[in-house]
Amino acid sequence: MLLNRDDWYDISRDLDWTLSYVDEEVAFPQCWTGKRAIPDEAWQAWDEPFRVSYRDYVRVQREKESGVKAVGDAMLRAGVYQKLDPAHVAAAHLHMGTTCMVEYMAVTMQSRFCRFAPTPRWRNLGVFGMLDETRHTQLDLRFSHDLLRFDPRFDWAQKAFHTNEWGVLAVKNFFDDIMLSSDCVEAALATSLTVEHGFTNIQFVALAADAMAAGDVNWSNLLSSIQTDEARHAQQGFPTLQVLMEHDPQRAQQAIDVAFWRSTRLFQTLTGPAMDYYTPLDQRKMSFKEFMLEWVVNHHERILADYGLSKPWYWDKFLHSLENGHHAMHLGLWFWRPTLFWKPNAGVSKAEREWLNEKYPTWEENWGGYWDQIIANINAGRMDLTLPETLPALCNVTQLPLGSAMSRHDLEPAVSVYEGRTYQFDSDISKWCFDLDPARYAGHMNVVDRFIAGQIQPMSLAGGLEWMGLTPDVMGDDAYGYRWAAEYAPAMAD
Amino acid sequence: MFCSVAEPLPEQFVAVAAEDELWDGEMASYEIDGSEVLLLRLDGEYRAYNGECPHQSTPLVEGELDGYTLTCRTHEWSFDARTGAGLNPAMARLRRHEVRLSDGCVWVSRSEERGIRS
Repeated sequence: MLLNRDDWYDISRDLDWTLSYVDEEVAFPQCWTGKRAIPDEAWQAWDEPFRVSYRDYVRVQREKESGVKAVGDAMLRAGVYQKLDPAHVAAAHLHMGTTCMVEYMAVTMQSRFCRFAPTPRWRNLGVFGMLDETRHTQLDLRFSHDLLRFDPRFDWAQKAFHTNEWGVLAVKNFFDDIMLSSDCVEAALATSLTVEHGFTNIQFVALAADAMAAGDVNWSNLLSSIQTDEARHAQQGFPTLQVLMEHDPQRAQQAIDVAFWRSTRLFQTLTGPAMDYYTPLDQRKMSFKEFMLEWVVNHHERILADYGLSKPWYWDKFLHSLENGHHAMHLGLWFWRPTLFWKPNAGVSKAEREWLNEKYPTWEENWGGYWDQIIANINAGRMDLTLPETLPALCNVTQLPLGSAMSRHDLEPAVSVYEGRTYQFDSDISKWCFDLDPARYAGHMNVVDRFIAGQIQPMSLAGGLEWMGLTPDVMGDDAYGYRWAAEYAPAMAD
Repeated sequence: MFCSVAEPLPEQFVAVAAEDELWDGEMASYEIDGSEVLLLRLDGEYRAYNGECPHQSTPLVEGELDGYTLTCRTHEWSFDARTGAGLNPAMARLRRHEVRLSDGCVWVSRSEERGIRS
């Protein structure tokens, strides 16, 4: 008779060995384990509630793969992609270009858990995480490969992280930090717990719902299938947090607070515009802010309370940013559209604007004026005035434009000087992140730093675009060719 | 209303469906006092649970009921549909609502049994 999984699970995951040929510090260096002064015994309490055997894993994943492939094949045959709204399609381009290689970076992080995590249970779970992330990378690549015949932008699923496109560099910078360069403990807190458990739902569940409403069954199904894996490997954060709360709660609080803010800024860039501007109006489920409040804020508050952590000191500022940051980022993305590899939708037709004002009561006061000027320029045929001639100053932590974190009134400079160099930040929260550990960020030069240092030649917008790898076939432009602005023309003529 | 109360039930019970609404192995969700309640039928008997997954609040009705195993679609937390006990992870469980049949209708208690939230 076969044993039940729970009868043998503990034996299989507790498999460890006594080192005799090398010292433990050699086999498990502190710089990768992140154990620091936490005693070995403490890690024996590390326990993952969601359990899986390799046999179960293979069976379930095989079923999932069959489902994803069947849906993808059927949608391709039905020609669904060609019928999608161009604004929605931009969300898929954005997602594939900025996510596919993050999944691949996560393979490396999970591999580190497999090898260096301070408990065999965690190392065992890391194996499944590594397989999960490999699957996610391959799913994104296959999805993009299938659609490459319709749009060269899907090439960016693989290509983006080998370019210097500024938005991609912002994403890469964050995940280089919390996935590739962090020890196991910090990676589990920052990535598994904060990003994967906390934030990915908004991209992989909420945006999947929007995609389904937009008729993009293939992409929606892909996102949902990927998300089913998260409960398994995202749970690596919780037992790690539990150990930290007993032995080093200050480290846990700091790692999570930094990761939460940096994740917020990233999702304001990637998900906020996709939800509130790219998803066609009649297919929007909720606003980005509503999704954030329901899926991220509520759950994060619960986790903080359950584990005895405090809300970050910047909580009120974060809520203020939630009202504004993605609108600022969207305005910047659209204005600097030649620097993108997708075609952003302005999303400010009269009906869309009414929706924005209903969801965000301060939208008009903050952002309406900018859009009015852009619309006036479009309708006057002055397209040159709607396009950038320079690059925006960027934050030395988030790599995102200064002035894009809060409302248009919050423009007080946030600056630190470290070892003779001046660093600028999009908010005092990002400055706080920097000041906690300046050596961590100090060596990095953002795109504008490189531009000013003469590393990007010729020193013009065209030179910058070439340096970013943007070619005419993928370069961003308005998703609808500016047709949406025409409805404003009579009123402005009056 | 598809039901009239021939035999008065305590006030906390609400009629949510006709007794023949679900076949064996089917589930549906209903809103009671602003909260979603999942009703499912197994071996001819009805059971009702809080309609949201205790993990991250996904509506369980969007998941899969395979035999006695109820699996959430979002992250694959699974439960024994007969008892609400967590299968994976085992420390979770669904909060159960009492069910009564009367006058051809399925009546579900507004209040849920106390359970463990993850």
